[in-house]
Amino acid sequence: MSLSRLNLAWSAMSPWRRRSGMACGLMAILLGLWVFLPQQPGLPPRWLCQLCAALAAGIAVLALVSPEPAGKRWHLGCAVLLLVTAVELHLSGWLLLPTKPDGAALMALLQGQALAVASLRWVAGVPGWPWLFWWLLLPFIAITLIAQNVQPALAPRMRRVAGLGAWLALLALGLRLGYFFVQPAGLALPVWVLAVLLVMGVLFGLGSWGYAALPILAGSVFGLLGRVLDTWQLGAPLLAGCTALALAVTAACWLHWWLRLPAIVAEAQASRAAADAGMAAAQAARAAAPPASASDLQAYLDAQAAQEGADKYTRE
Amino acid sequence: MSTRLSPEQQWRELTSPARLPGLTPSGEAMLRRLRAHPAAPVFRDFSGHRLTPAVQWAQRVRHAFLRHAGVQPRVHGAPPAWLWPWWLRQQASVAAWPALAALRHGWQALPTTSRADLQADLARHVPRHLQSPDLICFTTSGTTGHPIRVPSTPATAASYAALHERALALHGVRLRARQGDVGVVLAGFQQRCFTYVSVNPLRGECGLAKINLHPGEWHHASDRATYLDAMAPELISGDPVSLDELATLAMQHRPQALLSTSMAMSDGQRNRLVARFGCPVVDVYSMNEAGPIAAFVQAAQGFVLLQPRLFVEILDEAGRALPPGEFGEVTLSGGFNPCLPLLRYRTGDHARLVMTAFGPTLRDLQGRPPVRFLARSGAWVNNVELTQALRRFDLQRYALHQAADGGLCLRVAGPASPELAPTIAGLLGDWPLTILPLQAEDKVRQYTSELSPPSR
Repeated sequence: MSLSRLNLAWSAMSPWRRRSGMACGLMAILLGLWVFLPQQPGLPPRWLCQLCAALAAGIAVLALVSPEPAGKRWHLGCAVLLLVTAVELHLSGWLLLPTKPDGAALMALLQGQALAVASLRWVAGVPGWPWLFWWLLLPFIAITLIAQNVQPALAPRMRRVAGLGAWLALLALGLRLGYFFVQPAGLALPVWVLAVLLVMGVLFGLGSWGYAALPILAGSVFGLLGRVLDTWQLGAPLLAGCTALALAVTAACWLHWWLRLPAIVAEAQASRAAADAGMAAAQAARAAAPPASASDLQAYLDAQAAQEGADKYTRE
Repeated sequence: MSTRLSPEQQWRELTSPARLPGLTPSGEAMLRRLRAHPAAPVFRDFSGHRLTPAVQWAQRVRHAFLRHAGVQPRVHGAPPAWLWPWWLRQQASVAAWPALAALRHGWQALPTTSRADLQADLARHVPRHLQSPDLICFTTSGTTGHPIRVPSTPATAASYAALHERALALHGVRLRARQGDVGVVLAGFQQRCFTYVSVNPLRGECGLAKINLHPGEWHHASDRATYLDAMAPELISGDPVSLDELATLAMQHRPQALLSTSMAMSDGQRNRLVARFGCPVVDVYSMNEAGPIAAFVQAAQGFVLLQPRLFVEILDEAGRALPPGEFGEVTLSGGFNPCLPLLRYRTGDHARLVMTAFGPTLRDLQGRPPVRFLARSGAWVNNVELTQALRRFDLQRYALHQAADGGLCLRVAGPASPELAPTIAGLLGDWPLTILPLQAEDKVRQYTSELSPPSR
């Protein structure tokens, strides 16, 4: 994998994929900080958790003022990921350990998590699945698959599978959150996260990210019911299987995209050239018929379908 | 439009996936039933819900919000909490809105907008990212001389139903029509109007028909009652003119409710319709720019606000917010149409905003700018007083004009009560009064005068 190919890959990425990559990069940096910085003496134990929460709040504010839907969603996505990370930092209890793990203990812990993932225990729906998988990998899967639907590299049929996988991943994440919901030790922060998600959903009119929050909220309720009624074992294998499918589709998306890279680059360049040409033509047309936006809007409203309107029950 | 096509072409147009995405066999059966009944009128046009399955699911969630979320908690004071994030979100994409710096003087300092602004340059009031070929268009009647075209979306049009259900719930009516039923008939009464059939996918593809009660649109005038009895719609909507015509039909069917929009309805007419159909008559204050705003509730003695994301202020002529109960211009911010977010939009209608047990309520609503009439005594009488005096009469529509010499002309649709002249004379004195029939089919300006009151 040469540097030039990496550069080529980055330039060929769609904005959505770049943002997904950046979100993953951000998570990796946070993970690194999480692993490295607690070893340093003199730091208050909860600082990283607070940093994540503060960053999440800042990015959420950016989302509020972001004028474009895509930018708004990206910012909100990052904010949610950071919030989730903050929750995990809090819940994992790592930062609350009386003594920080030394290098060997840390490696053993990470190795244990990796082995747990590799052992596919989570596929069987065993409670206590590795947090690393759930909190870091699932959002990544969901974001990748949602991006896949927005900027597709796969055929339409596979895209539908990817979309289903994305929602299942989000649902599984919600179930996990719901599982934590009734644990006394982790009660406060999940409730807070749910409240933030709900407020964001309401603030944004349940029109965009509100819908993303709904399966998480619904999943939380189901998780809670599963915990209370002790039916967790029944639904968990199914959801774990769906998550495994989502993971496989994610991997296929990235692999397929990587293999098709040269063709995608060519398509992107051709598309960009066509878009530039279209833009130039549109600008020329607008220059010939000012005012630009007014005439465009008038044309849209003049169209037959627009004039027909749509069903509403009254005449105003 | 449709009458020029062959039956097969008409069916293809009617059921095209663009108009009715995801139409099921039961939906098709409903369309056939609405069109093929022996007494059915001539359906001249096509329309549809245009809601894709994904948008339908989104609308189900949205409808729950619109039906149950609270409206503004106060009738005076700071804007509701949702308004600032909403404003910040939209600010960069609506060209006509002031810059962020304008906020430093607070909400009250933001400039107001009016119909004339929308008419002059609509594109500057529509978010740039929503100016797309997917828009649909509704046109205002232009009663004030400013007809405007309102950009909208199918999802926004579908949201009307949720707000209507909210208005009906205020009267204890819950809609239950599902698959196989006819949900709503929209009744017009004009020489010519847009007529079509459709289905509502959010309620089991129950039927919807927009009909024209004008006898010229039917094979026989008696078919109107036959058709409505056969379809048995759960809800009939219209305006005071068409509902008045509806009341003359020999139909036996009793809908769950009648919904009146578009024009003011008098107490007398409302009572007569209630007695005739034995169901609530819900008068909705609604406009194309903002959708259904409020519904009349007798117990609240006014129009109760309906929309959870619509901030209603009452402003004076200088744009200052008035205290609760003061009479001023109804001004709107927010709204459920993302294509036309309203920022301090002066509706041209006037009312008092008070808090009642039903929530914020508009009282003494006057559909157009107030007009003052010169009384014989030299006093100036506000049209609100005239409205209150004429409310007890069963007037379908009326228009009062005062000429430069003080003479009055009252145009009335339908029979004029002999008590009208003494009532007006009681308020304005013994000016010469002419009472004529009102011929116009559509909205009219209710009060006009050639005299100008002295500035206050």
